[in-house]
Amino acid sequence: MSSLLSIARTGSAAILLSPLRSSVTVMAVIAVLVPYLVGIGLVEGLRQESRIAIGAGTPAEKELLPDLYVAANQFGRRVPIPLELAEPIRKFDGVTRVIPRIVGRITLGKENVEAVLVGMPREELQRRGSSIQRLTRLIDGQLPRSQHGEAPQLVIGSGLARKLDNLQVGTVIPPIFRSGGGEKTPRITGIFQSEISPWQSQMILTTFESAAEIFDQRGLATDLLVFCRQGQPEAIRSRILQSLTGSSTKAAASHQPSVTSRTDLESLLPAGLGHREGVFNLLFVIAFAIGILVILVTSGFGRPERRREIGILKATGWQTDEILIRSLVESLLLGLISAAVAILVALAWLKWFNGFWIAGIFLAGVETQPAIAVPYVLAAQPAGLAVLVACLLVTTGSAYSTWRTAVTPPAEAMR
Amino acid sequence: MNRGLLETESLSRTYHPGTSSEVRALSDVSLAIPAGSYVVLDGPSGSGKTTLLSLLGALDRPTSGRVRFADRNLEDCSDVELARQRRRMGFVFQDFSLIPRLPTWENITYPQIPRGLSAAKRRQAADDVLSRLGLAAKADTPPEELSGGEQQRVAVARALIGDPEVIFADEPTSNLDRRAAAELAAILQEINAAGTTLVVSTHDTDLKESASLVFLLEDGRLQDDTA
Repeated sequence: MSSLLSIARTGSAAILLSPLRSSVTVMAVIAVLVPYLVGIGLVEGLRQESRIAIGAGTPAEKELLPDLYVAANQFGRRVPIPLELAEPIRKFDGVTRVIPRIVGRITLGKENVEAVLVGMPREELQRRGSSIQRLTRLIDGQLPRSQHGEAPQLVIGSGLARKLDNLQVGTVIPPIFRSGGGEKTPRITGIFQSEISPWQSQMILTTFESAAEIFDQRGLATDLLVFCRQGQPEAIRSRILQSLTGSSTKAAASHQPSVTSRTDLESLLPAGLGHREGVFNLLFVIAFAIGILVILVTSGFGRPERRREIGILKATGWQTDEILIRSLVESLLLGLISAAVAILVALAWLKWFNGFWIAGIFLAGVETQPAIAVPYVLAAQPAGLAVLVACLLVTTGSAYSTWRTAVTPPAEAMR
Repeated sequence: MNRGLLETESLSRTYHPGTSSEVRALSDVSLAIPAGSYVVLDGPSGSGKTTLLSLLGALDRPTSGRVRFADRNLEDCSDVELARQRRRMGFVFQDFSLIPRLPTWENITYPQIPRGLSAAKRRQAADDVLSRLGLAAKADTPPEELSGGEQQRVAVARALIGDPEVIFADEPTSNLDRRAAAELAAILQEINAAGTTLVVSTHDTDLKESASLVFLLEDGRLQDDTA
């Protein structure tokens, strides 16, 4: 046992005996692992952000977000829902609030920068404790208050502000629409801080009334956000589908209701991210295969020296199995060191370099250098996997050449 | 004289057999080396001295023929058994063959690591041998910071550390200046006087003069005028 420990110790010391080979091996493993860790960290961060966004987080967060999203269908496609359909839903037993919302895509500036415009009722924007009100802490400036007929007030994402020549609070931007009510010049009343979620980075928030004017769609909402008492959402969902489908009103007759619950959204979430994660994992498997080749090549660094060293050990009485144990310990330690450094580099990449380059793979519209603070969570599982992969890579890369040399007669190995 | 500690019978070694680069390095060599003797393998470059030394020291396997060391036929030994036999031997190589960046005392005692000796005991043994060879002050110095003569003495110290029955030295003085070579010759003589069998391949006349037995090799064959 003591001889085994002594041999293992020589394995750890061997790392310093071949500093060039050790550092090249560590660097090769880091080059394979860091993109993987950064990518997985981003996926996990996005997953967590998305779960919070759809209210799958804490009970307090759940309370702030709607239980049902009611939209309309025509010819099998999703279309805006007439506002008059909100009234009957409001009267259903168990419904606490119904908020109409407008969500639409617009282009801004000479470069036609794409953005998502969200319109929420003024009362909701002002209501104490609402999810939007809580955003005010994350806004430089103030929430919009523009009424129908007034110049729209906008809160815009930090990424968007940067893209549009560094827009500031108070800036008046050129008219972005020409509706039946004439041309209006919107004013920036607030900017979302860059630390908040990526979803807000490309977003414009305004009042429902201004959004309706910008899109020139009076009396319509993209969807109705329905808040229910605890345990009621499923019953209310059925009731909405039954009553609106069978309603005799003109609006209801031409629009088939479509109700999405928060549970539906939660189940959709892993599918979207899982797809990107799957593609990323596939890329990683390819990188892993290349990594083994890289290690095989890099283990050629200092190979004559290593071959000679093994020859000397054999000539002075070391056995093949003892040499293999020494090499195994050296490889495992190199793997551990590589994984530890890779985890630290990945953390630095996410924290200080903001997921540079890799974030663009996971976040639509995000460039090489993300303008927003990208979300990340580097969990224990991928870190553990990184350790395993690193040890496997280094051991696989060096085991064969070590074994081949160890079974060669010492005279030939030392030649 | 004692019975042969090392004996060979029709020993031959051919490199790359059956190819265009086939080299017959050793042909039909039969000899006996008595325990406690000082044997010199003499001959011009390429005559097969190093090949014979490698076969006697179990560093290589013969193409044909037999090598017997003490009570074992080496060609019958497994890889593990050969390693065990090598622990009963010591080697001094022409180019020293020390491990770079490893302190002298560790270089010397590296062969003892698989035997489970503690670092403290290894250090003590290294200090003893280094004192005998006048290198006590160099125990913590890595080989690349030593002179050629010092490196060769470290190589001798490594060969001595396991208290071997026989020490093989391949052209031990060829990379040394005259003074260092004379010092090494004296050290080897001292080792032999203490009872250890020495087998040295060399052209060095000082070493040859100390030998009790000289085998002359030419073109891989043992010559008749062996003294």
